[in-house]
Amino acid sequence: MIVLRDVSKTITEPDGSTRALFDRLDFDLREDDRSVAITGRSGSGKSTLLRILAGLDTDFGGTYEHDGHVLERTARRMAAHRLRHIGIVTQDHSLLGDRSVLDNVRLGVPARADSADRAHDALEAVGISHLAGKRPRRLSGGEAQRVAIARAIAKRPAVVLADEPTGALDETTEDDVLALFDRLQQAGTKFVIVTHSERVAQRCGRRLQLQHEQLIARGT
Amino acid sequence: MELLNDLRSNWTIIVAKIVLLVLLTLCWHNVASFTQSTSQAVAQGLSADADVDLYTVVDDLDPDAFEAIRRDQHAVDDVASFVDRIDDEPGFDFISSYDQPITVQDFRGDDRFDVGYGTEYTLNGKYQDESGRSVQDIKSIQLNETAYEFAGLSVQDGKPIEWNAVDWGSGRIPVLLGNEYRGVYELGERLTRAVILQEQELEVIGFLEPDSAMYFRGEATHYLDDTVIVPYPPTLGGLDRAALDRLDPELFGRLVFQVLNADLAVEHSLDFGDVVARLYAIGDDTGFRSYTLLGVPAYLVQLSLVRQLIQDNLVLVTALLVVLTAGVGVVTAFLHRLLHHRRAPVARVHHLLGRSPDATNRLFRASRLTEYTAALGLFLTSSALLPNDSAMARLGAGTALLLWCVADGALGRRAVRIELTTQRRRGTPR
Amino acid sequence: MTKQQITAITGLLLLAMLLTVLIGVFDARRRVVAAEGNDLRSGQSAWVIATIDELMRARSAFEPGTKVFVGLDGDVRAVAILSGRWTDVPLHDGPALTGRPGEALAGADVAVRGDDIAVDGKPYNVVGRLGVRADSLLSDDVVLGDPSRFSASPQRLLLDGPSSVRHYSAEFPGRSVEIIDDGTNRRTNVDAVSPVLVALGALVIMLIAVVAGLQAGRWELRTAAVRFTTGIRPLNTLRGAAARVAVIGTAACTTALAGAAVVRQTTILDLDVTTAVVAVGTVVLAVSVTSLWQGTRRWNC
Repeated sequence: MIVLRDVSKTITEPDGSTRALFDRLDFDLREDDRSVAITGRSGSGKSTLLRILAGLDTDFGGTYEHDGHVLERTARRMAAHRLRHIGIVTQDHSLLGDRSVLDNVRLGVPARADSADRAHDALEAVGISHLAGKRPRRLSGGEAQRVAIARAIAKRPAVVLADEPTGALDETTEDDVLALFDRLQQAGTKFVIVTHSERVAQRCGRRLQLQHEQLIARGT
Repeated sequence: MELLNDLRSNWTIIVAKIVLLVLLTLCWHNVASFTQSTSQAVAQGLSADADVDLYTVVDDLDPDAFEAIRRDQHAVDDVASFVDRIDDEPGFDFISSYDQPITVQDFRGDDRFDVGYGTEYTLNGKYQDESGRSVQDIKSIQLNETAYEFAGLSVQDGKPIEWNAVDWGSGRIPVLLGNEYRGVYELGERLTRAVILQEQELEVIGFLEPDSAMYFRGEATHYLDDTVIVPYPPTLGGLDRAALDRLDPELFGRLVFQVLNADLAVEHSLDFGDVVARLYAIGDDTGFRSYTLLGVPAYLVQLSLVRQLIQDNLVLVTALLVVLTAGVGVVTAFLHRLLHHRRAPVARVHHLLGRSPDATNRLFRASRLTEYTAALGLFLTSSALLPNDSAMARLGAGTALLLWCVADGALGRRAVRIELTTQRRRGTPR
Repeated sequence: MTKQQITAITGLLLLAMLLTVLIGVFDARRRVVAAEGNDLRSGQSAWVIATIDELMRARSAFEPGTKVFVGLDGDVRAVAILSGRWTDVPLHDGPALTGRPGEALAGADVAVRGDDIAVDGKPYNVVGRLGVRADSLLSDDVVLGDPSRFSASPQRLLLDGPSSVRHYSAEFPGRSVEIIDDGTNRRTNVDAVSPVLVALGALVIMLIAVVAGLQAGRWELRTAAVRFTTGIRPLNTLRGAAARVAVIGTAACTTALAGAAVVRQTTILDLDVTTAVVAVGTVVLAVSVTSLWQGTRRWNC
């Protein structure tokens, strides 16, 4: 589905020095994958890799393929790809406090006549339709994360990219969220999860570790 | 939808920005317009198309010198030449008018036409002159064609004065009467009057429009309804001196000095120094130098003084404006940053969900346009309500405001672009 | 706050103080020029019939700056100050009347022998020359600081000063008062520039002070949050932060007041910006302390 080939990237540290983050790295999300965990030490580039997969970062060497087609590495082209095929869940939820839960979820659906219905369906799927009218600041951490997940899946994307989705949650809530991920995977959505949590990584179908600027397969 | 959300969340910051910008722009406008407007205000009492600076020319002769010149025909001719030259000078309008009362025999009007009625003079009413005739001193204005036109006077009934045909030596002068004279005298009537102590026959050729008024000696609106308008001859040098001298050997001298003491309307392009230089040259050519160029009358002087405040203190006003602009810049930069801080999460989420950076930037275009339109609209409305309204200053200040809005918008878009392309590192917040 | 942050706050405050002094200078000059255009009147004037003695007895009822003129001969008049000082005198040389006996102000065209003039045989020391410039509406005028020139019996006097008409009518009810309107400004609305400039300037100064205070509070709050986690009580942090902001504010105020003193020395302007300067410093301190305190309250300590 999504293939990264020969991806190289260097970053500039705060002291002005440069460091190679990725060196001819390859990644592919296969059709038979249900979920892939990406782990690695802090600063290894896990989040950056996820941003590249999401098309939020286009400043790298190498190619990005989707369904066999090499995508043009421009912000506009990648945004269109992201709009159609990718849902994103961040650790801090990225919910907007100036609108209701339902309006937050509707943001995830491209402008269409049935966006409200889709949003409701997404909230239903994650089990929080009763919170549709609430403002995000009134939600608990777990509820907010569920809203973010609902927003990510509202447009029914093929892939959901999640960056430390349970990083700020307690174990019980984490289990709830992971169970939700399982249900969505069963419904056909593929997950790529960046995590440093062993519990989360073990729940995934495939596990990759960022090490020495490369992705190395690890057993699950 | 983002417009409503944005305005709802950030209206206080947006309103604060608008208020500050409008006030600053009004300052730019005020300072720019004031230097224009003082001259306009100065000439307000004159004709509608007057857009000049005003001075007063007077002779500076003491009584003995005055009498000496009056008795010297050559010296009087010099004064006459001086007056005629000023009148002919390009850029100068010689507005000569004087309120010498005229003494009318067997005057038919009542006391409201008397020179003492409602003025600082004593109301004498009708009295007997040396010959035993019944006479009365009544209000009159003697003026030249320039003064007449400058005042925008017009005739309602009868015919206007044929200025080139006015001949004081003929003993018969065409006159206009103020509107209140209707029913007192008729068109074509001739009156025996003494004008500048010389007996003349005055022929009524017309009545002025009701409420006719003119600028006269510092009074912006000197009404003429109860006044006799006596025209001066078109030139002094061209007069039939022999005829005048037959009537009264001293008439010419009195006339010349009366005409000399006049107001001078000067085009804006000439400043005080230019006017002085030109008069000096005319004085050199004609041989008459005993004149003084006065600043404009008292209330007009204050206008000039405040204008002088602006001009003399232009450095201070400019410094104040520059520092004020910098101050407003600092405060609006802070507000801009605050606004961006509140808009950035919205931009990030939209970008995250698949909006391109350009499309994300356009999210706030409607808000920005609303803000800038409100600022421009408020400025244009406020500036039009100000007493010192000036189209040029408004255009200039409005353009500056527009440029400020363009820069503000560009900075806002840049900030959003940077926000979207910068990866936030976890750790110590900046 | 770091050194850069302290520099930024100090810079903001100095900008505010510079504006304060500039506006003060501008406003003082404007008042002086207006006084010249109004024949030394402040704009709140009236003709009254009174004796100088009874006005002096009632002087406590009048606001500072109230004075009374009596016309003498031609362009000569005498003045008696009822309350405070006469500050908005248009002068191009020398100081205003100090109150010492035998002083006078004279226009540039008045013949002065050395520093003295004689009026009705009595000598006066000319301490200041009237008019913002030598060539002015007051170039022929003489003002004597000599209350003895006022008659002991009631005479027509020009009373001038803030709310002078109201105070006079309250002290001497039933007496006739011929109010002199500010004809020039009424007729032409001459000075539309200054009010907007001064008002905007005041608004901007206060906003800069608020911004500086908020920013200082925000920066101090970050440090305070860390200190709180190490065990230092918020109140102690607040005291330290307040002291730092107070030092910066005091330095800025002192600079402004020194600047104003220099202006007073080098020009004839009677410039007093003390209230405004202190107000700005106070606003900065108050806003920074309040924003810091509000921030610490969220720690539930």
